[in-house]
Amino acid sequence: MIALIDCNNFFVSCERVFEPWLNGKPVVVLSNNDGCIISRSQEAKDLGIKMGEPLFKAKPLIECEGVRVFSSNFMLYGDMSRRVMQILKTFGEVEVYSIDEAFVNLDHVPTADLEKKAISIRETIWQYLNLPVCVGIAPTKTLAKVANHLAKKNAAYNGIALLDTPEKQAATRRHLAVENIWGIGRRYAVKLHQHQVYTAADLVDRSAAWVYRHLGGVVGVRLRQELLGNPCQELDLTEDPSRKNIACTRSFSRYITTLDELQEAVATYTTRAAEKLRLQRSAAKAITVFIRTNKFSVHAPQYHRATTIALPMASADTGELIRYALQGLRQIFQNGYAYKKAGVILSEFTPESQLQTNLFDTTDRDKSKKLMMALDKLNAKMGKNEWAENVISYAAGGTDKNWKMTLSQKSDRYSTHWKEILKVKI
Amino acid sequence: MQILTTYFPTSHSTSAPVRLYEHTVPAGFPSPAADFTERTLDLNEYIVKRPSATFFVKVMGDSMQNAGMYDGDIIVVDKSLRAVNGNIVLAMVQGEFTVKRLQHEGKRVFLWPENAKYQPLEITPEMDFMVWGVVIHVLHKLYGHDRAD
Repeated sequence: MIALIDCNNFFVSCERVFEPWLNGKPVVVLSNNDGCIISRSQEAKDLGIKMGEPLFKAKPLIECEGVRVFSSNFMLYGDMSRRVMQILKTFGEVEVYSIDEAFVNLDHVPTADLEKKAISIRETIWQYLNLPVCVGIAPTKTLAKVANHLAKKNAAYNGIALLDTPEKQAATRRHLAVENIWGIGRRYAVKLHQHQVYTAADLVDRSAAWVYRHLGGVVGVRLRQELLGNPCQELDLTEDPSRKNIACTRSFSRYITTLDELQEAVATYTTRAAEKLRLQRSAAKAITVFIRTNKFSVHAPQYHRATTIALPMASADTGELIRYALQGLRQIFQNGYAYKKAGVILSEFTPESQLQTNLFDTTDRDKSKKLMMALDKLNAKMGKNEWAENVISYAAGGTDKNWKMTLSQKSDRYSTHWKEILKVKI
Repeated sequence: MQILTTYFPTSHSTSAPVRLYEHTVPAGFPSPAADFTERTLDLNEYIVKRPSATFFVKVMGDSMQNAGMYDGDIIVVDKSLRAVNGNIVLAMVQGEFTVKRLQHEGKRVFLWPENAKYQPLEITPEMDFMVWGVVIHVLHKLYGHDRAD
């Protein structure tokens, strides 16, 4: 059996851990430029505040109802997520699916003990972290997702739903609309409706051949099998997916139109990514740069371009990586657009210890390594924030950084920064 | 991933330094301690029993000074422990955090300060009360810079 554990209103719940008096009160968390609402407590949902709603639209309601508003504090959410996953690992093998969701393999648990195990997972995460979670248990990932959804929507379930018998699975399929099945998008749902397929039960009643033809080939057939309780997707247990690539992408607080400013942003993101790279003792052989306009803006002309550059030699040198990133940026930059987001992704890693030397290499690798070590040590000691506002940094990153996010109502990074830990008057 | 663009360096290096020895090989009596340099003591291991449930909190005030907890100290709070009678706890009372000793007297529950200047507080059912975590260590600085980091 597979359990899907999903944290309820994760970002809001993380804020409440350190301000428990906000339990039972309406709370929202904003997206990373304070633009939209991206997490809502149940009380905020009950007030009619919509997911993704721009702050300015919800403002009258927020002010009138005294809704507590937080800017996103991703350092905090990231650390709390890491703790949740650490706890889950004591229950079984874990596939981290997103910041607030994970699959846990419960094959070793006897069927009779599954419910007890689910209760224990829920209670442990509550006891250790004060984070509420829902647990869905089923024989396949797809059904575990469905079970979790049931647990979340039905208060009487106390946060736990088991689809452990064929009878329960069949009953659930009859009530499960195809558009609510994990992996079936809006467009496919419309297509299925045209063939009188409305529920998961309708779908599994069709033959595998029919599903193959109408629902994306072999992917659809697997989905049908999973809905029937036959596992087709194994858990992905590869440790820490961040090790395959490191991304640093952010939205800007305002539109950027000039190459100069974009260069500052890209250099800053590269700096941050390179630090993470060195932290895991790797070097990257490829760097991807992308820029995009605001895809939510209906009227503005849209532009989205990315480029990947293969480095002649794997590198973890900030200066060198910035040089390539900026070369890439200059290739894809187009004048005349209002840019809203940019990002840098490092990939194709080699462990620092296995670096090949290249006869044509002109860089003094030893010197570069020493320089980077000194830089990291200094910056780690002198303190910095997630904006890589380092004490010592490359001039290419710019000095004003007035394109960076506005984080007007950010809580402290209680669990990751000594200066921001919880303070209590006793 | 598709590599769209490739850059190669344009200048050629004319020399490549090659290092012969990374470290020296001492001749003579081998160190008898070499086989025992297995590990060092880790303070984290001593202080943090359950990392996923442990948080550091800075306390301000003198209400717990007889328990060895002084203004500006950092306490280590383990949330995985269920508080029992006599534990020092970080608790929330009426929307505020406090640190006190949890004391049961029959059916009554009190939060006791460790300083005669202050009065114990009885927890009543209508109060908004929760135990956030159990305090397992106090980190008190005796000497050094006035900095937490």
